[in-house]
Amino acid sequence: MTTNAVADYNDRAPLVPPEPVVSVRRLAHRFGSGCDRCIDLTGEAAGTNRCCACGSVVAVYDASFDIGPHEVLGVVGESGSGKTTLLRCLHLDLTPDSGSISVGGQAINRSTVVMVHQNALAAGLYPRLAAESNVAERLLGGGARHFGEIHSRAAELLNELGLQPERHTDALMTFSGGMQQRVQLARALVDPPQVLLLDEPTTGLDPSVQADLLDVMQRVTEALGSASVVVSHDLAAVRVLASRIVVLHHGRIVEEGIAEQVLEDPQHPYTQLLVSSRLT
Amino acid sequence: MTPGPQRPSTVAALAAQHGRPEAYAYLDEDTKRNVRRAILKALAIPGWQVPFASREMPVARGWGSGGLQVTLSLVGPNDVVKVIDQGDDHSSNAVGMRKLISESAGCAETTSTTAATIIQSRHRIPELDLRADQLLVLQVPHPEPLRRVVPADVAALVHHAERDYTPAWLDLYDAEARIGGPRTAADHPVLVDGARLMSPSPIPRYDVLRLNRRPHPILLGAGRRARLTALPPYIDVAPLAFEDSPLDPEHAGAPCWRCGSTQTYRVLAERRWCCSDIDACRVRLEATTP
Repeated sequence: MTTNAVADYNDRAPLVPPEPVVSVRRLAHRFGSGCDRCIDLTGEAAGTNRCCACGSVVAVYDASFDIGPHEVLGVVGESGSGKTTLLRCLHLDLTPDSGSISVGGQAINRSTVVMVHQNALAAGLYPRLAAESNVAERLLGGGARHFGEIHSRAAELLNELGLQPERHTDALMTFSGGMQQRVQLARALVDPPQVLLLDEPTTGLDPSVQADLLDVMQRVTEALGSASVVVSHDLAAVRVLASRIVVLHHGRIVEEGIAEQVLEDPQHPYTQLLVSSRLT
Repeated sequence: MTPGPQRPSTVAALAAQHGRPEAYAYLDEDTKRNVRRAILKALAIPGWQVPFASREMPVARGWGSGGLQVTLSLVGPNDVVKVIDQGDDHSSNAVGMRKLISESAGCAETTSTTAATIIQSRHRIPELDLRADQLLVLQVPHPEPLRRVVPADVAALVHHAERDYTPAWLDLYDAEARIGGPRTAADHPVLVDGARLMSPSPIPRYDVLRLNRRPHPILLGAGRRARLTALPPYIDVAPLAFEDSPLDPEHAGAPCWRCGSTQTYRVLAERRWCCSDIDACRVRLEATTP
């Protein structure tokens, strides 16, 4: 039903790059013990992703997509549609029940993926340490033992992301949300990953900071040249960052295509609803 | 408790009251054997914290009970013992421990660094270079160098096992970036044999820099934490520092007012700078005064 639905509503030729960096095939993840009828009782037709027979939540089911180099994939959908579960599967925080994820033809491993979390402090950054030290940790972990080099590299990365030099040695807990996100991004750039995952990167920030941060992220994703995934329910943010969009609804991909096309001319009723309900 | 007339004042009198022979060097033989075994293991794995069965001692835990157990388990009747407290032979704690060791082991005591065979020290390494036949015992309050940055014991153990000292490096980096140097005034962590991070006890940075390739063994006892660490002779010991930002020793404000030394570790005493190591200061003074 789901795959057919995608085919029905998505009549454009999918933009598949010749050699994808990330390949996700038939990915599924369920929270709960599950039963034989879970798949039939959830999804589009059932109007929920919670199985009424066993109470399990089918967070992601049968998700398949590719991401090419230099490409940013936007994942949109309402709360509870499975966006973050999909991202956590890509980050190996969750082990998928079935399906495969490969990066550059190899099975995914933690060293190739970096996630920028919604909340920087919950993402393992040190609130009491200086911003520069938070970046330096990644360099130290890589074996760097030359203070001058670490110092200049960390400062360079923070400058690149628009953090004023006088704030580099301030403790992270004194920073605003937008500045903390910049530090997170700087950490991600220390060792450029093959896959960059951005989880709700602009949520909770005021519009002017959002615009600034989006500008920075756009520069970062372009400069990195790696495959990126941005998950957000802020369609404006996704539109700025992503070149291609995947729409998730009740754990299923209901529409996929070039970002502008999907947002300008949505085919699936849910996408139409999502686009029309956007505050302008 | 009212002190009776027969209240014993020495270990020997207490033992006699119970009809038992006094244990040589205060500790019973099993304890001494246990400590010696731990010392051998610690010497075999330099910088590794070896647990031992730390006993109740006649000094409070944290007042040198670990160092005392190490000294008492190794001392013999032919030894000459010196105990110093931050370079001072005459602090009440140093005097008390020196008396306990020499009386219970029946050995000689001294305040001269060159005459001693076993030197137990708190927070200093004697200024005069020790010989290969001498033994230095240091009292350690906190043997775990990662305590401040990795508070959980098991997590710290994992870091040691994996030789992953990123938290310690990160702490050092943060201090360098913010205050331009390490936060540790004393007890600066050292890398032993390039592999294991060790707390050298709260010796000043001046002494941390003198730990490398010493000809004599150094034994570090932490009684409260029941851990022994050891540095065998000629082992490489390097303070945790960035390649381009070496550890700086402390700088005194003036030469020692007694001996005039400008090279030794000096401290402020009654607004005057003087050598912290009293014995070394005395030796220099005798050498320069006609």
